[in-house]
Amino acid sequence: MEKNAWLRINLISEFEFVSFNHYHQNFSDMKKFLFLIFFLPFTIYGQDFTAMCGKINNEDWSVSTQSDSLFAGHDAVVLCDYGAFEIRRGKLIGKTHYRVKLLNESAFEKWGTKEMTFFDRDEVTIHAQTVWKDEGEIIYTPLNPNDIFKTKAEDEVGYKFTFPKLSVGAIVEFTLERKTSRYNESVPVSWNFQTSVPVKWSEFIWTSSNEMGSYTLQRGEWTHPIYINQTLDQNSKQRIVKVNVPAFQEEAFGRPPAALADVAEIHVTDGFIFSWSFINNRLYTQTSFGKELNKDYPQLKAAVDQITERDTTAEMKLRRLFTYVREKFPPNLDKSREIRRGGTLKAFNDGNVSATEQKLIMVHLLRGAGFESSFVMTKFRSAGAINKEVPNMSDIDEVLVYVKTPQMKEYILDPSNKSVGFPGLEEDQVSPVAWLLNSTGRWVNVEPARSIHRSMTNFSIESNGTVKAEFELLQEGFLALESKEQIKESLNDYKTFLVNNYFKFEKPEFEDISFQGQDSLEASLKGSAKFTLPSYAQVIDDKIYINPTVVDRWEENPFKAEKRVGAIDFVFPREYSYVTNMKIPTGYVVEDMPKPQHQRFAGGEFRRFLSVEGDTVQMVLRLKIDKIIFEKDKYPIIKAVYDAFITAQSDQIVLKKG
Amino acid sequence: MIRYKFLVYLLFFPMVAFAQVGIEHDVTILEDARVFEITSLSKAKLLVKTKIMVMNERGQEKLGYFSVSYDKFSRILLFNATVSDGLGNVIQRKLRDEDIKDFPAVDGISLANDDRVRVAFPRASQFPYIVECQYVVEYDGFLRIPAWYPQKPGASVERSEYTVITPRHFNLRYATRNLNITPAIEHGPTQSRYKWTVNNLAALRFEPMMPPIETLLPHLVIGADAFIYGTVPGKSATWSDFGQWYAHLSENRQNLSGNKIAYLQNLVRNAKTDVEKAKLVYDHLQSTTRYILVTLGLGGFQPFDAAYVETNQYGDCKALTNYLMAMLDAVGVKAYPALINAGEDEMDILEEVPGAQFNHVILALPQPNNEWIWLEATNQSYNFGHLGDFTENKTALIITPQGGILVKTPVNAAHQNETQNHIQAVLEESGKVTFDVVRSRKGNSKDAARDVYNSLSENERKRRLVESMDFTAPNLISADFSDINNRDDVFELKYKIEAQRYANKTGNRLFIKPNAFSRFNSMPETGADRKYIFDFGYAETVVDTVKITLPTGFTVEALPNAIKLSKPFADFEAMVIKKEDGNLLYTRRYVQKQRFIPRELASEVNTFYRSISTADQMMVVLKKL
Repeated sequence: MEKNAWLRINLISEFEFVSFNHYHQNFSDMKKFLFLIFFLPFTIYGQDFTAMCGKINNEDWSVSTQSDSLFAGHDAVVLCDYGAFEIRRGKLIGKTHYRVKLLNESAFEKWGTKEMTFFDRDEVTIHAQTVWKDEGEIIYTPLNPNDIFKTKAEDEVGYKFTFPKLSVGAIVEFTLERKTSRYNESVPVSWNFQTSVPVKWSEFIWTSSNEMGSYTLQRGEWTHPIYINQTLDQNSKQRIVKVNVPAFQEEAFGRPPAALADVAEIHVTDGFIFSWSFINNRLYTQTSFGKELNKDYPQLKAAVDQITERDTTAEMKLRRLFTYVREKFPPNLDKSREIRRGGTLKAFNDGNVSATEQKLIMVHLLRGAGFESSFVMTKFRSAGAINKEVPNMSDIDEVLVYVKTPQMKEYILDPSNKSVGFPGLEEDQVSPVAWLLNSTGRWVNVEPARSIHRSMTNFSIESNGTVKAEFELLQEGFLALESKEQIKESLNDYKTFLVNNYFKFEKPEFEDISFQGQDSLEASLKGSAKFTLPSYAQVIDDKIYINPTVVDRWEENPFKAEKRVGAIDFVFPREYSYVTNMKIPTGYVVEDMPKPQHQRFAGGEFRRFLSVEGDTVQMVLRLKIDKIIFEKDKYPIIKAVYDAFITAQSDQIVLKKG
Repeated sequence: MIRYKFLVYLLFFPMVAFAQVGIEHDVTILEDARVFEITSLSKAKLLVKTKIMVMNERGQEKLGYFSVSYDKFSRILLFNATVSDGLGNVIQRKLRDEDIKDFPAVDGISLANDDRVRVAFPRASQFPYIVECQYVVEYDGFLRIPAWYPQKPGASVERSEYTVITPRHFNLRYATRNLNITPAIEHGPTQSRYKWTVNNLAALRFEPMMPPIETLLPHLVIGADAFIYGTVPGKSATWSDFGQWYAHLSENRQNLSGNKIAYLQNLVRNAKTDVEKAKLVYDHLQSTTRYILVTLGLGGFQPFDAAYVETNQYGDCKALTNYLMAMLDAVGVKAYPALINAGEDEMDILEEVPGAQFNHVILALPQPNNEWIWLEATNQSYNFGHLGDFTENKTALIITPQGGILVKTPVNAAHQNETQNHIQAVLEESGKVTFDVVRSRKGNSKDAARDVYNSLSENERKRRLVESMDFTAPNLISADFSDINNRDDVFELKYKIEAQRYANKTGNRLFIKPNAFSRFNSMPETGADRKYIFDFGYAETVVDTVKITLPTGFTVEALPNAIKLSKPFADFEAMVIKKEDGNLLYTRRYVQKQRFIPRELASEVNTFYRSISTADQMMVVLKKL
């Protein structure tokens, strides 16, 4: 249920702390402002089982998997989810209550046990009960306070209990009231209207105080209509209610849950709402790292000339400098946020750098090579999307390096990551938008390079249907990275890697396998294998029936659902290309084979080409996805293209003696 | 269903924690020396000095930390580590405060657990590097002498030794598995010293279908005649002694309310035999309780009172078993707890060493002729008397009033773990096929399916079912999971599913694989130099019958050849026939006769399962007239 209380968001990048620690130092008069950047798990509840959600009524008791299509197939329904929050006398006070009806035994495991963690000095009151109906009589079994188990670790206390007497059809209720003085670690207050089961009623109340201002930010690409939006008590209290919110569902190639989730977020301020340019100017001119970005280090120019002396193009220099910084200045994670006295130059000369210093070195070396370079502020993909409309530092959780070559080619780099080749970004770091931090500041959109998967298979068929084949593979980009990881996981056992990934049903006998590039961060992955598939083709009477895609066959369309809730997010553009050359056995001719196909759509293309040249049938299959995000109305097209591709890979060729 | 456990290992004896990794040489244990010194039954000390070389990131992640657990009956006196580079140059001489974490031993399973764990993750930025760690733990008594696992998955061993020092009069029993060594023994005037040593163990290597790695590790178990657990003394010279100690822990914890007793007596009023009564009470237990692990105080072994379970309707294996025993007693049926070291990936106990080698408890009902009915109290979907692969073929210690006795639990034969698929398939000219499926599972085959589906909502069940299909674009039309709540021996799942392009259409032909639901594709090839036996989990039988109705105007152009294979370890046969009405009948029968196959048969195993895999992919070719 925690997901349904205050949304947990954790800072992932240490870098952000750098920025705001400095921000803090430099703008002490705006301390309240800084609450925006801190996140810690926080969950608050109240005490009275009827005060917040009212009494359990007949409608609640009648909820079942059959009672409404909204609830069909779910093992529980949140009948009421209530949270009221305010800051008063320096404390953040929250009262929450949830009431969940259990419709299936599988709900016991998900909803029957509650676990949460608070700061040790928080004032916490917990009440819980199980309610069920037995032949018309309503029976309440409260949780015995002695059955709430506590564990202490450092400055936190964990609470855990399980509801007594659970049964299918029972309702569990949980209230909690919490007061914490560590509210600066607990904002923004987030209320998630959606959870893994349907929600009948979700109510969120925020009472602003005269201690500080606040504003509400609606988040999520899958938001639901507001049922009640009220301001009360002379506009100090805001009440938002949503009803009949469907269960959250994950989708293939879906946007991250954090991007989709229907959330109201309260940001506490001192009443001043600023702009991205304002943030930019403050960070760039007044933080330690901003000042370092602002500086000019001509001394590094000489180093750049030496490092790149053999490189003749801007692209070569860029890659050389990236690799140099990554290898020469691995960041010391213990001091990731530090910037030493003497700044970037001293860090460059001393070594043993922090993550911030490493990125500063990267920027200044790139500038020394004549590139435009600075920091970009962005957000991990899994943490959701940046809301450009509402300037808000809590939307930023990562700082990377931006570079533009003299040929106007743009990159975003992360030299701190030693597990990924140039430009050093993992899939989760590929963000659709980022803010470039420089004297003026602006949004940049740097898409990752196209990932490639190409294979060529040449094979012959023996009289008993056995296929003897030679297979070659080339991969680049994230697709290569994924394979390299799998090879590593298989302990460099190429046979296991190939069997697991390229032969779902067949059992090949390998003669020879080799791979190149699997240990290199930068290189493409190249592989080749010779293998035999005994009795692969069906030889019956005077005919041979064979699927020419003898290896690397897709068997499943990831897009299974008929309908789509969110956009399709491919993360990076991609191209799959399969060339197959099948040698026709002596004495046979092609009796039947599939027809060519070509489907072009906005953002991609699928093509199949077949030809017979002498004793060889050649089939070429190609699927290109050029766009990263397809809106949900394009889902039927993408689904159909994937279907066509997979069907094409299972088509048969009929050979006949003659 | 999670059915854990006493957590004896964590509860009592700290070990450097090693998780399973890729079973290669990720870490070398250069030197490991541990000494368990017993001063008296209520005073003992474990001194550990271990030196490992971390070779790579995987080794760092999985084996590069060390953790020591302790509880209110023990304390850590020393906990330190040194980090050196691969050449032995010291990088960090001692742990800093911020390097050490001390927190509750939250295992993700327990509702409550009062153990704590101290952890450190000393590391260097370059591989390889060396970590040398030392710790000392002092105990106010011990339930058993720490077992010894000189090797961990993913680690090779240069040298490892284990010394147990006892008062002179102490009598030790010990036994090993996957390890053929004997101790060097020295008897002094006041003390005896037993020392086991191993040198140069290569890392265990991964092989397909190998038994769980935990069961292949070298292992030494040691027991003493007596012990003190918490404040409770016990004897373990014999299994009978140890059983008596456990019985003592459970005494006077079978209290039920008068209402409950009256309810139970009413429930069984028409039952004629003890077995009939037990069935009714077992069903009542399954209907009204759920499994939650609680490990507090002596809770590692001591069950909660039956009254607690009656009030809250939850408990762990000890509590639920005790509650079931109390309820059976209330209707006049005698039953006894049976301790087991349960789990497919757990070694059975070593009978030579009586004592605490268990992680689970079930209930045993005595029957005539020394037979037993076994009842698993933590599972809400098992049929009466069913054990499942968690507890079958294990040595159980039954706690009778006369003490503990060892009894082997039975194991299901292939026919008892049967899956039957009865399928009606209607093929259309477009290649679309609609399947009407009735899948019946018995025994262990049933458990896996029922446990999984039981943990899912109706929507999730449907999604899981669709995802399990081996063909493209399945569309589930209907599914009937209602049988999931039955506790019969058979779990029947009925569903209707279609696939638009199940059959491939090329020109005027249709190509259809008649086997859509039981394709064998899980066994990668294995080499002739195989080191370990093959482990198939359990013996089983899978029978498929598929009736395929052809589209109008199509006739059979080609049928795959019938196949029949028989080996001492398994049988397989499959065929497709054209029936008089022009439609097709596909039948397939696969019998895995035994769980384990000797490694010497690797070549035969490869050929046999490859043939099945090929046969399962064969197609029928239809042609439009």
